[in-house]
Amino acid sequence: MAGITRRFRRAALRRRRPAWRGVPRGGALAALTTSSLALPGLAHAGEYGDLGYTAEYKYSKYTEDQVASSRVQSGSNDRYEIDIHQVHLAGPLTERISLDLNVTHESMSGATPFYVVPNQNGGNPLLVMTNATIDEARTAADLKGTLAFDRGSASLNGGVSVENDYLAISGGLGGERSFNEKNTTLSGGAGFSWDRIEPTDAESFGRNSEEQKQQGSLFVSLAQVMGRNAAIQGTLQYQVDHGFLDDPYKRAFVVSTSTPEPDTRPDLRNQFSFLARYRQHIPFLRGTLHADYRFYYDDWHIDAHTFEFAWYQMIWDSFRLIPSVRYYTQSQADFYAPYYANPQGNDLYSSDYRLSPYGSLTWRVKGETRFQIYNLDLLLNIAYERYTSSGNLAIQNVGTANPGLVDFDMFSVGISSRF
Amino acid sequence: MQTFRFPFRAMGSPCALHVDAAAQPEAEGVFAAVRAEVSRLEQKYTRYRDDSLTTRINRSAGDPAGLEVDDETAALLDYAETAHRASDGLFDLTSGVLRRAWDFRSGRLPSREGVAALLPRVGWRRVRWQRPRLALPRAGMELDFGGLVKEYAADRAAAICRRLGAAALVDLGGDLAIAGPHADGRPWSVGVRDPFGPQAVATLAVFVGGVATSGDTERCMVVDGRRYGHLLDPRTGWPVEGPASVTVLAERCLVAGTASTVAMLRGRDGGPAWLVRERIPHVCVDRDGVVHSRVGGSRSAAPAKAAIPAVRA
Repeated sequence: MAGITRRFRRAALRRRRPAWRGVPRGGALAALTTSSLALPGLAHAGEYGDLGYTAEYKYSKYTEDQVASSRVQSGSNDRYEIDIHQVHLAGPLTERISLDLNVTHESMSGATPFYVVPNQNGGNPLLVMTNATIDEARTAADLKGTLAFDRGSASLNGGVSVENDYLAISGGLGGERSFNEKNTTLSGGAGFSWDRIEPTDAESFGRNSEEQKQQGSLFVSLAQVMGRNAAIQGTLQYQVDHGFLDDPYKRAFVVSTSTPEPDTRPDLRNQFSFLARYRQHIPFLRGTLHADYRFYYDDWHIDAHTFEFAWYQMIWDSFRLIPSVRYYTQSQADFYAPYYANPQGNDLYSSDYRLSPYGSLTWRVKGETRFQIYNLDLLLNIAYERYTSSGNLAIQNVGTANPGLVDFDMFSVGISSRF
Repeated sequence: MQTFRFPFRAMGSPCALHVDAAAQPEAEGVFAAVRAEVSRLEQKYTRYRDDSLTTRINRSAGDPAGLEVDDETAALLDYAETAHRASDGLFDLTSGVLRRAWDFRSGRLPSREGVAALLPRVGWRRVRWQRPRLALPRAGMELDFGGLVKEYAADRAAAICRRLGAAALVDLGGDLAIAGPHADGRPWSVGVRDPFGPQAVATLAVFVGGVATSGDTERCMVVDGRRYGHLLDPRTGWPVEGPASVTVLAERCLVAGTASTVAMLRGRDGGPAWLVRERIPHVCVDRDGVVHSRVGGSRSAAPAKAAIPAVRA
């Protein structure tokens, strides 16, 4: 008996391969197995390779609020409207290699703040908007290849973004390794981007006809699962921008000379950020809290804090509702001013509202539902977000708020399928 | 990484999803996808809903034109045809009609004539299946996907788990589909129940694939000292006595389910012999409680009780 039981144990428990591997098949089993392969979804190559293909299309409409006439000195009241189409395709190439392709096309129209002038009647400064309606389009593609290992992965990506006046080529490397039964994940990466800017109407605006900029970044991240219902992640990131960092389509007004000077910024910007994310699932509510905090600092002396809270609520088995709120606050770049009293000794000028001190609040709600048409699993999501920004929302010292601060709505609808 | 268990009821059976995930929300996401897929198949193929495809097919019986079916159903019908051929006619989607004659709760045998009267409505050879058109030419014929859909649903659910990157075991009323080993490479351990008691007669280590069990100890009746089990031979309309239980391992739960059903229908001796001849990995408990197994190329036979401590270790 001992012999039999030992054999049985060896057979039943010690096999590292599926039981049928290496077993010559009889006719009936082979016929059934072959026939079962024709069933949708049941043919799979290898044991780990089949992670399926994903196809996704998303349309977003971004609409900035018109600027109140009382804040505009001259130019259009209309601001940007952007239509964004995104396609994402992902899937395995071999058992270990998967590819991920993102293509985005944006078309943009409207006007944008050109510079800011003091209000001669007293009160808040006024905007000089661009006159002509700008019509622009941008197309970008990004391809990423990931090589999977047993406890980690390595990836390589490259992308290109094209506009009539702008070309960006980017690339990156990344890696990920899990420990501790996949409860701990360490990841890191490096990226670069090379951008060429050829401002339109360069001659009539006295701009250089071609400029360049380079960007490099590094990040390292550690994620830890904490029990059944919680996880935490910390990320450190560094980015350096070098080259032409000005906005060639903006100016800054100097009062004593009545001259709008070209936007001119330092040609180096070192940026650091720290991101902490926390996830807490509450089984009894069938919901999950996402709480994120980000601290940002750069050597233009902008410091910024972002707080974001989202609640992922499952409703029935196939519907998910995600309300979220984000608060952001930043200080100004040290060379920024809404306008300048006198010419600057260091020749740095910018009245770009994005370098001004301000705070913003974003409300967002997103719904997701899963359904099936024929044999296709589909995930439909619809989101709406409202963004408002103002000087009053900042916790840092503001002084005079930039009149160009923007409010916008964003609506998006996406559909994705895995097959 | 932990294993989360989600019990649920579907297809008239207690079911469960066992899934490895770092945290509950991920596991719930996988469960939602599995639950949705199982419900879809249940609603599509149930006999108990007026709007199911099975009901539409059965309502079309007698209409020689029949109806057109979708690709998924077509693939299931092709599979059923293959299974019919591979089992010498024992696996038959049309045999459900025979349940009308056999009421196992009544304790009474049907009349020979009653059974014989149903036989003209039984037989896959009478079905006209020419992809994508299916016709049940005789009025009163019925298809019953019950012998396929639970196993197929388990496979589909496991495929979804694989696609979501989750190691999981899908259990639909004892029919199991395993989507890959645990994160640390361990196999899932699957107990084969003793048909005569609550304990396990064997524990199988399964990395990926399907495990299905057919048994013949529960629904039966004894008339004049003779036992009549619920497994009906579609060729005669009368019960066949198979082994007490047959558990089959295969690449897919669907194939495992078909093989275990066919082994039962081949009878007490014919079933185990067929499994060995076809080199199908299995654990078979015969009517005397002896366990025959052929898992991973080795054969053994041992009384059930003796086998327990050995394989549980």
